[in-house]
Amino acid sequence: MKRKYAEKNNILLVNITRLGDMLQATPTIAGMKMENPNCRITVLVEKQFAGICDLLPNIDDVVALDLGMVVRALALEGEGIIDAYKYIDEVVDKLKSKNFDYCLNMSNSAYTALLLKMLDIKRHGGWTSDDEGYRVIESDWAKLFASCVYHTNRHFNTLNLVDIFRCSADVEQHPLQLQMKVDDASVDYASNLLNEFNFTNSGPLIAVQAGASQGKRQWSPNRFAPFLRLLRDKYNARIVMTGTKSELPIIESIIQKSGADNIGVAVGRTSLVQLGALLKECKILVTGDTGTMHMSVAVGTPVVAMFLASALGFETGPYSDGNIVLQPIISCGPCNPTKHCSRPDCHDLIEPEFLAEITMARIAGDVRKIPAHLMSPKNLVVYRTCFDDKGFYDMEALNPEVQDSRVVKFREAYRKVWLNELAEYPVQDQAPNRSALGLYDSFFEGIQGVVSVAQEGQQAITQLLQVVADHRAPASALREVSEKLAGVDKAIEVLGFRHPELGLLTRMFIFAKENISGSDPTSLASQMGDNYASLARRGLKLSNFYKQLN
Amino acid sequence: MSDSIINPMIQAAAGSPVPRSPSSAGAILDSNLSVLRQRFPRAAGVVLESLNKSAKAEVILTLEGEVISLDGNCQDHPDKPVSSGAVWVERYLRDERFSEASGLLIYGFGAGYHVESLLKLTKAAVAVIEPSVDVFIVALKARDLRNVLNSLTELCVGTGFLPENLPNNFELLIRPQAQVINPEHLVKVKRFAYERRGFTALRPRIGVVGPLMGGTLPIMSYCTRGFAALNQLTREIDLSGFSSSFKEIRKLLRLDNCRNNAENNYAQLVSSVVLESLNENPVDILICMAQAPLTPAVLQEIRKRGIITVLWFVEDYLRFTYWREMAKYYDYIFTIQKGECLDLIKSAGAGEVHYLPLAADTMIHQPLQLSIDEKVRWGSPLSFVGAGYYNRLQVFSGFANTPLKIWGTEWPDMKPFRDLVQESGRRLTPEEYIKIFNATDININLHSSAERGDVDPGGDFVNPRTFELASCAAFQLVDERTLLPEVFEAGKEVVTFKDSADLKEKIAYYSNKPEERKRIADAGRARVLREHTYEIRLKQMLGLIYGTRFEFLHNKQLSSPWNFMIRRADKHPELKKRCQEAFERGDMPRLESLVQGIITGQGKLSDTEQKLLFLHHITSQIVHMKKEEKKGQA
Repeated sequence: MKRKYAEKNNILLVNITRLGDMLQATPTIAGMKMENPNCRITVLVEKQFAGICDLLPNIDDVVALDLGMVVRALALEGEGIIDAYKYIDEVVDKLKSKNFDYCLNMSNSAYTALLLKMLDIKRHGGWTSDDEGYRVIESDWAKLFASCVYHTNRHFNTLNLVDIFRCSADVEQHPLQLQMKVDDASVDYASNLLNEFNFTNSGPLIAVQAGASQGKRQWSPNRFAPFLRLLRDKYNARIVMTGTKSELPIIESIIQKSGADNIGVAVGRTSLVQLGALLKECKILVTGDTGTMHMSVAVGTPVVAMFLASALGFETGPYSDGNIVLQPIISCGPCNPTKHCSRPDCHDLIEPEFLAEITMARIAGDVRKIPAHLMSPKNLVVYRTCFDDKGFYDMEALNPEVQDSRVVKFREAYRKVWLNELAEYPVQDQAPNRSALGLYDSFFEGIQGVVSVAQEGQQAITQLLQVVADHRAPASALREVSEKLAGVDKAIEVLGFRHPELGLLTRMFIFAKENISGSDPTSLASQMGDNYASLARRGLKLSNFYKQLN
Repeated sequence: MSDSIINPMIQAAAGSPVPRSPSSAGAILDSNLSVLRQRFPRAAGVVLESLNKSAKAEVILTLEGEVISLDGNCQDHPDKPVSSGAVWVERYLRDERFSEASGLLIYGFGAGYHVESLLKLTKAAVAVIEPSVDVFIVALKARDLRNVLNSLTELCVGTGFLPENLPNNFELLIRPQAQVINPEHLVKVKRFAYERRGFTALRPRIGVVGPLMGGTLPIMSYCTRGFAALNQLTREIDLSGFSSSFKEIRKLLRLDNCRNNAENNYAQLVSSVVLESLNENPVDILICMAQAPLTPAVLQEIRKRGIITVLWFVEDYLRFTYWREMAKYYDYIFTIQKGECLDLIKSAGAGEVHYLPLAADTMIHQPLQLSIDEKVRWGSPLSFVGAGYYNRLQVFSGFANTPLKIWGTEWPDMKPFRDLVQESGRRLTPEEYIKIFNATDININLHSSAERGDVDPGGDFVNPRTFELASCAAFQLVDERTLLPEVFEAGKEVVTFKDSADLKEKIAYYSNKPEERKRIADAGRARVLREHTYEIRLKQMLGLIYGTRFEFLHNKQLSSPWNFMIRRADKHPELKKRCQEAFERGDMPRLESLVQGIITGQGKLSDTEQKLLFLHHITSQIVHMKKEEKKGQA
């Protein structure tokens, strides 16, 4: 794999946000240790998540940033602002004194980008700021992440965020699973808690995480209830409900409908590590795309995960082998995470009966095809999580016939492009499928347009370099070339909008353009030239790979 | 004699008047006078004038030296004038306001011990005012004050004059013993000191609130500009947008009581908007123009918050009598009339009442170069701009078949006005009437009267039009007013008339005298520029307010969160500077005020800028996350 900073000794990981993000960082952290056994890894986290760092292996030091205090101080205004400023000043000084030689910012927020700038660590990956305060994405992998989360492009991405971050950190070796430590005391606690539930059933112990961070990602209680009844009554299962105290009302609503027998409510009764221990006791976790899902993977308990609304299995799916991901096929999904949905129809595409059956099938063993007795659901893709030969997360559809084959091919083609372009993994060059030669697809028009415009861009850059070098060149010449370049860039952007399957490609180009650095005109022009060249090259590769797949 | 005998004698003598031998007292006086004459001739003059009069002050001996008593009041500490004088000075200098001042003005010389202490302890310029000539003369006779006199930068003795060369950054120290000598003089000195000091030491936030509509409305903007020219932190609370709804009330409701009820309710609403505006963005001084729609309840609330309320009552107190109910809600009322007006408004409960005539805004009211089309449209040999009040109807009805152009509202739709009133008698904007002034050969300026049929013989105040016309260097014939001679010289800067017959004569005379008209108009403008700009008026207004409210405003300023922030940011010079700048701008002590101006992409960010932006982004991010959480739970 192509790597910029393979060797690192004193590493800072900035990962300010949520539990799930912390857990998703564990393969990267472990990989750093695998590749640099003597390296020291410090994680900068928000104070409320500092505790979880104790549960994650390979972390040598934790610096907790008390954002809550900062926000409270700022809210007081007046002297509170000085308090907040002094606190940040101290944190920056403390971090600087540790002399990190590498930093990975795994958060895309503006403030972490600024923090990185303040720390002035020369070698870094992820987001940072330039001297003028603009957010800069240095790593191509991080640019890919930014391009993918632009919601119209998400359809065409199959690279999991764990892998994208890992690659942003230039880590190749890594465990194919998230990681978490569970101590004996927590195991005892979980065991005692389960005993308290006085299960009368003797079937498998199934954990269910009903709550989710967003309402639209939360499967309806009306659907959970029959699901639980089936598991309990037909399969003699023992069920334990997990979640935080704030999710109790949902749980209560579900239990009201399903009845409380053989359903233990662990909601709000465990710390994070105790929850991990509890999940470890279970055969499986049924969940949405949640932090609990990642925790279950980290403790080795398989999951059946419903990726509803804005959740996308490829992006944030359970990072280990053999999990089941259910992804509804609906024209509006995956939807924009920032938009409210008054009618999440995607929920209806998962039948409680099917969910119960597939759960039980997974408990029985690894599921590599839809069980014979189950009808393959329409409008729902059932995936099995796996890893490709390069260690990148992937998902294989157990019912591929329900998918839009065009979208699938684009996904695969893009995957090849990125692994080849960004990681420099070789891709076997295949002759295009004969049957594809006469294939018409509007995509080809679009890609031809992109490649051709990108080549125009390259020519314009050559022209620009000549004008810059020529002191006698009139100002109008420079203006002309600039206008030409502006026209080229606009054309590229428009093509991306007109042909949604090209959006990922064009957006990568736009991010690359926004992140060129320096002030020397020749260097800037040269970087732009490289961007056009990359776009053209990637466009051609995408076209070829797509043809091959056809 | 041994000490055991001498000391008791001294102690016994202490507290008693000290009879000096005439020769020693004379020698001391002479040597002091010699320095005094050289350094402070004016003070020396005052002293010499009173030297031979019988002194009311006397010297009393204490253990530490002579002190001076005036009418039984000791002007220094009765036992330890030296040490107590030093303590008094040290107490003041502990406050950095005094220790960092570049000038210190002491009120009360007494025997001079405290002045000597101060001169030893400070490098600031020290000036002294001693209100009692007697006290000073006795001091000159009792003690060798040559060193002190040589070290002072200014000295004023008596009540006839005040220091002239004080530095901008000076502070006033008042000897308690001197306060009772002449309380009125002390008030005058305090005003003098704080009026000047206020403009350099204070940074109050000033709000200017205007009426919904009417002739006073533009004055609000003139005031805002005037305060800005004085480098004061000012914001305008413009309520004119509420006037259209107010007019709708009048259209909809015909019965007086219904209309009044609705209008009162509306005024309460508008008033509450002002209060909310002050919640959002507080001020320290609220200047209300006449007819600003603030209810008593709101004004009371405003005052409760420690905001100084000021009304510039630019109306005829006899015609507009709402001051009777409203005066008590104002700390200061400024009027355009004198005499009984001031007394009555003061009796109605106003804090202080002062005469302050109107002015002109020289940025707006100025000579213009008009195009030919503008001259054709707006110009005339004779013009009048104003509303159709009774006396104006009477006077101008005699102007039928003349080139007179009348501009303004409320003129009757009948002859001769139908022919004289321009553009259907619509309301003009200031920009328009300034063109009229400039384009007219002779502007008639007749003050309104609802009762008299001609010039009001008892008319006192000078209307804004007088100043505005003069500021435009536009020739005007203005009716005689009792307060007019104070502001313009008749015949030289304006031309006055005493009745309509006189008006017609003067029109006839000046119609053929373009050069004379120009000379008079130019002189009028020069007078405005010298004495009648809004900047000058408002400086006077603020000077009066600062003179009497300096300590109040200063303490308020000291207790501003910015002061604490500035102190706490001491170890972070750039942050401290940003706090100071934000305070100077009058911004609220919020993060936004510190981040304002840090624009990404405008050069390399400093460490401090990065940290402030960091805090700004955290806040935005947390707000965004909370919104997302709420949406998610929805």
